[in-house]
Formats: sequence, structure tokens, C-alpha cells
Amino acid sequence: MSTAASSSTSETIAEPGLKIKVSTKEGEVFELDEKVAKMSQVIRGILEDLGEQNGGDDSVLPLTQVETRIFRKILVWLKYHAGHDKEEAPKAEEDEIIARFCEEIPEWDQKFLNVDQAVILEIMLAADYLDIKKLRGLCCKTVANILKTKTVEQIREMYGIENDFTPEEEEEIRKQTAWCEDEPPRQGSNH
Amino acid sequence: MDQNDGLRNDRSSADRSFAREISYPRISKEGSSSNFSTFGSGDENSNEAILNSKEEAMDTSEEPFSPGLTGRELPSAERMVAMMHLSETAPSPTKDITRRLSQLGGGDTARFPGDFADIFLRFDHLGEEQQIQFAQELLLRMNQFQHGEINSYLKPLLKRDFISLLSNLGLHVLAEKILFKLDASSLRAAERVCHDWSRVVAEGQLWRKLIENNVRTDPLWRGIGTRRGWIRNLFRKYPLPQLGDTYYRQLYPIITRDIDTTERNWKLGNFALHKINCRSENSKGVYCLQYDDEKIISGLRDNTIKVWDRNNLQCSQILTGHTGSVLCLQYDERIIVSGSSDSTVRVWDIARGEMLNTLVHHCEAVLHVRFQNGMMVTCSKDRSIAVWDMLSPKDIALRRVLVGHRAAVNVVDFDDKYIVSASGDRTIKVWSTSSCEFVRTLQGHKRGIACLQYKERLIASGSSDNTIRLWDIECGACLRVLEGHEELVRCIRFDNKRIVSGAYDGKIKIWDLQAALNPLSLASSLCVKTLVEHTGRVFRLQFDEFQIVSSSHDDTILIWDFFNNSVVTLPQSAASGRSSTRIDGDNQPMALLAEPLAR
Repeated sequence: MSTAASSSTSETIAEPGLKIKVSTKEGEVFELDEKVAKMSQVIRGILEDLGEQNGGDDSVLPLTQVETRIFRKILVWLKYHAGHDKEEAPKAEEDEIIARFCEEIPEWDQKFLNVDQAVILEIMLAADYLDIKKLRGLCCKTVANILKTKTVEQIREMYGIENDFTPEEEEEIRKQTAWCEDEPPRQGSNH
Repeated sequence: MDQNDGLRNDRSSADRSFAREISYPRISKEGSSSNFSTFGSGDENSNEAILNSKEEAMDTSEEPFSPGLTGRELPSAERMVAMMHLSETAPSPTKDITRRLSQLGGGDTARFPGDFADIFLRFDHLGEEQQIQFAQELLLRMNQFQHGEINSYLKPLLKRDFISLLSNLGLHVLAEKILFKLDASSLRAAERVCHDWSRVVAEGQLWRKLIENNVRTDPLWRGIGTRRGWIRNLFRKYPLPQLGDTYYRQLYPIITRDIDTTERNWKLGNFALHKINCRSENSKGVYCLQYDDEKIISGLRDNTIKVWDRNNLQCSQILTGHTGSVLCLQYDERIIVSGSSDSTVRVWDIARGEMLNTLVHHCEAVLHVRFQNGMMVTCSKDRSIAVWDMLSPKDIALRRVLVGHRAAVNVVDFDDKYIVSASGDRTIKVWSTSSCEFVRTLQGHKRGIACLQYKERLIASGSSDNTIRLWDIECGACLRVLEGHEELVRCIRFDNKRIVSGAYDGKIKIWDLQAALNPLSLASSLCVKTLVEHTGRVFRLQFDEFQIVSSSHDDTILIWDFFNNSVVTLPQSAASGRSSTRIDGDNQPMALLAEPLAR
């Protein structure tokens, strides 16, 4: 794909800095700068476990659940952010929560994720698998932004979801919502 | 073509796009492609460093991850195996679509002439990129009507229900992470979509998380949580088992109702009034104050600083030392700094009440003091401003004196960027905090300026010309003149929503800040409420989301409480009875122990 092609992986020849080799599900091997590779907490973890003694040899980390197609996209993201982000410690879950509303999706990432929701889903799954929290968070946020401002019917329509609530359940929900908005809630209702 | 090939056909051709939903567990077929002559020429992968042959890699591609390599189980590996399993057995929307698709004839290659079988077979062995290119080639050969047909055929295929899918794949966490980023109204819509969605919202405790997030980011939420007592059901390391999702879902609208009521009380001027009578013996009057949830610290005309306990509104401490009226003060967790008409600035230990330091610098009354982050600024009737470095309460050194005003400097405020001062000379002056150099003068008030607050680019000032002006500090422009007070505007404060000002005629006015900043608003719509209770000049006030605390020449401190004090029933926990008493137990709003005045 052109996006991936435009930012080709670095050549094997004489460049300082450790290179990490990973293979995708299809078995295609990519060589990444250590900095880029370590943005995946999974790869970072493996490298730390391996320690220095294995560094530099020809071992390839198999990322068997990531398809080449998606890995190329992720590589574009990793390389951009490796070059543009400040070195930051992996954020705690807590920080993610605080960032929930205030964090706007940066323009570059917006463009990056301006793809079909199917592709976003795949990127999200792969980012989850590789434990790249920031990318996973961006994917979630992007989908959430699509959901926002949609009505129940619009969501069902968008995703082709059938309403599987029975009329009784719907009535119950309607009642619940009704008193949520108008009257004080009843007591001790649910068990 | 055998049975399996037919099945594979289904998946790989028309079904491909949504087959990606289960693409991770999908049985790899690409491995065999290397045996086949590929369609088209150049390998699109050529830009990447390909170090392994595809055949070699095939050996590992079926495994979730090779733990042997690392001796460490990958976090997601197990889940991926679960996904594999699920995708083969569990009924999922994908399967439905697959079925629908085969009904539509997507995989029925038999209807084409025999030699097409070969084309389909060869298509199946193309790389994904090439399959796309091939399909594009085909599309180019069709007309617009056909494109429309294909479009309407594709559209439903591209609809994928993320949430149910992730949830069914055992990836609840991801589904929750998406819905977690929704606001209340879209969360309410989400849980009504279908059972799967509703379950993700409930199991993810998303209502609790939403409330917790609001409490973290909005002082109004935090304040209501504290006053209503439900805050203790949040931020628990181990969620209370008796408080299920239902509790928090029901709690949410109760909170928003409390917020609405409080906002309405501000608009309508509904408040409970609490009064502290200072009973000063000689010279009566309270010049300055600052408060928090536990106490009010006030500077009095009788030269003392008095600390009031908010629980019983009784005086808990009296600090003496100043030999003139206490005109201004500010405190933090450790110290109180006060300025007086005795021309000194004094520093006190807040816990023990002892005087730690006396700064003799100004040669006339110290009219205002502000300190933060190791820096202090004082201003005086002597027309000068002093900038101090505070290394410790006992080690405070004069950094710089700012001269320029032609009359008493009544008030100063500052942040990292600017020091702002206002004077009886009718001007506001802006100085650089880092260099202490003069930046600009803001002119517009027709008489001396008595009070000012500066925050986030905005300055609000009150003057002896009875007006309030709002200024943009960066360009120096006056954004709005608020008219309505009938005497000198002595004190002013603002937050994101409102401005509250007090004047020499004893009146306090509440203004709508956002409306005031909108050039289209009518001047008559800006003053929301006028509060008339003080019987003397209003000297100083502070306010937050729930209350105004004001002090006056009339020797009183008034607490105006706009919180909705009516009793609110919190939702019952799932295991009602036992726990419910505890939840409703101390549901009493705090700081309401003093009797409201009869009005």
C-alpha cells in the first residue's frame, strides 16, 4: 500500500542502533529500529526478557496474530510517533481516564484513522495485541466519536443491529428512563 | 474443487471484508500462494526488508505466539486462542452475514461457465492487494448502474457491530474502552441498542466510571458528591458488591437533578443565609476573608485576624500583632500572610497561630497581597508594588519594586506570565512576572479602581465609577462594561460561569460571565441577581459552585448557600436493607449546621 511504501523500513546496512526483526502472521519479516519496536509493550517485554545476550543475532519475533496489511499501517503510525513524540513512560490506566474528555485527537492521527471502521477495528485489535496503548486509545476514541450524537436507531442502522429486546423489556427500559428524567426514583427495585 | 475449497471461496472473495472480523483466528491460506504464479508483476512488499522466506514463516503462523522464544506468556495470546475457538463455534453476527451472503449467491461459483472455476481458484491464491487490484479492474469494466448494484450489495456487508463482536470474542475490555469514552446521553443510547451493548455497559460499570470521571474533572460534581455523601461509593479499590450497575445508573440522573437545582437557585436567587456576627468591640468591620470547607479566616478593622469554624460558625482563633486594620490576607496549608494599615506584611503559622515574620517595607498601608509558588506581590497606598521571593515563611527577600502608578495601588494579582495592578489613578498596569518589566496600561475606568481579579487572560475590575470592566490582558482591550451598581464596586471575583461583585451600598450582584463575554448579549440581560442583606459596605467576597461568602463594614460575614438542600433519596443498593441504611445514613449536607436566618 502506498502509505507504507512511502516510509520504507530502514536498510540493513551500517546504521548504528539495534534492529529488531519481527514477522507477521503471513511470515513476512520486518526490520524495525529498536525505538520503534519498543513502542509495543509486548515487544519491549520480550526484548527485556531476552536480555542483551541475544541482541544482534538473527532471531525473529513472530507476531503471529498481526496480518502484514495491518502491520504496515501500524508501522506507519509507530514511525511517525517515534519521531514526533517525546519519550514518555508508558501511561498508567488512570491517566487515560483523566484524558477522557479533554484529549482531542491530533490532526495527524485523525487523518491516519480516517479509514473504514473495519480497518479501525483491525488496527485496534492489533494495537491491543501488541500493547500499544496510545494507538488503541486513539482507535477507541475515534469509534466513540462516531457513536456520539447518534440515537439508538441510528446506531442500530449504522451497524446493522437488530433490536433484540422484547416489548416487555423495552417497556421496562422506557419506564426506567422516564422516571430517571422526571420523578424521584423508586426504592429497592432491582435484585 | 472440493468442499473445503468451496468454503474457502466463500470467505475469501465477497466475504473478505467482514471476514476480517475474525481475521486473526482465520486459518491461514496465504502460505500456499508462493507456489502459485502471482497475478501482476512487482511484489508490493518489495519496499520492506524481507528476510525470511514465506515458506519458513508458515511454520509459526498457526501458533498464537511461541512462548518458547521468550519463556513468557503474552498477555493476549490466551485471548487469541479463545477468539479462535469462539469464531469457529459461537454464533456471531459474522456467521449470520456469511449465511446471508451465500443465500445471495456470493459463493456460488457454479453458475458461471466451467472455465471460470480456474479463474476463481487463481483469484483465491492472489495476495490481498492483488485481489483488490483485480476487483478494481473488474469494476472498471462495468457501468454506473452496475456500480450502484454493487454498492448496495456491499453496504450491509460493511456494517459491523463492533461492540457485540468484541464482546462475543471475549474482548469486553476493548468494547468497554470504546463506550467508556461516551458522554451520558450517548451512553444511555448505547445501552438501549441491544442486549449485547446493554451487557457491556453494565459489566463495564460504565455509569460508575462516568460519574467518577465527572467528579474528578468538575468541582461541582465533587462538591455535590461530598454534600450528598455518595462520593464514598466511588473510587473504591474494591467495588462494593451490593452496589451494582443499577445503583450508579440510577444515581446519575439524581446528580444531574441536583446540579440543575443548584444552577436554578443561582438564577432565581434561592439561598440559605448563614450569618457570622463578629461582635468587634471598637472599630467594626471585616475587611478581608478567605474560606475553605472547614474554616473562614477574616481580617478585621480591629487589627485582629479571626478564624471561624464552619461547623458551628464560632470563632476558633484570634491572631493579634498588627497595630492597624487588617486590610488583606491570603492563606495556604501552612501560612497566613496579611497586610495592614500599619504598613507591615506579617506571616503567621496557620496551625499554631503564631507570628513567624514581619516585613517592614512599604511606608504606607499595605492594601493587597497575593502569593503562590514561592513568589509574593504586595501593593500599597505608597503607590508602589513590591515583588518578593519566598524561600520559606521566615526567609522572604525583596526582589523588585514596581513603580509607575500615580496613586495608591489598591489591588494586585499575578500568575506565571503577568502581574496586574490597579490603582486610584484609574489605570490597570500589566507587568511581566519573569522580568518585572512594565508591559502595558489599560485605560477606560473614569475613576479610581478598587478591585480586580486576573485569570486565564481575563481581567475583571471594579471601580469608583460604579462600573465593572472586563479586559483581555493580551491585547489590552476592554471587552465589556457592566453597569448596575450604584456605588463604588469594592470587590469582585469570577469563575467560568459567573462574576460576583460587591459594592459600597451593601449590594452584591451576580453576573452571567459567558453572556458578558458575548458581544451580542444585551446589557440588560447580564446581571442575574442582586443580593441585598448587608447593611454596610461590602468589603470582600469569595465564591464557588455552591456559595458566596462575603464580609462587610457592618461587622458580619454572610454565607449565601445556593445548594439544593431538599432531601434527596439515593438509589437503593441491589442488596437493600442492610446496606441502604449506611448509604442514606449520613446523607446530610455538610456545613449546614448553623440555623438558617428567618427570611
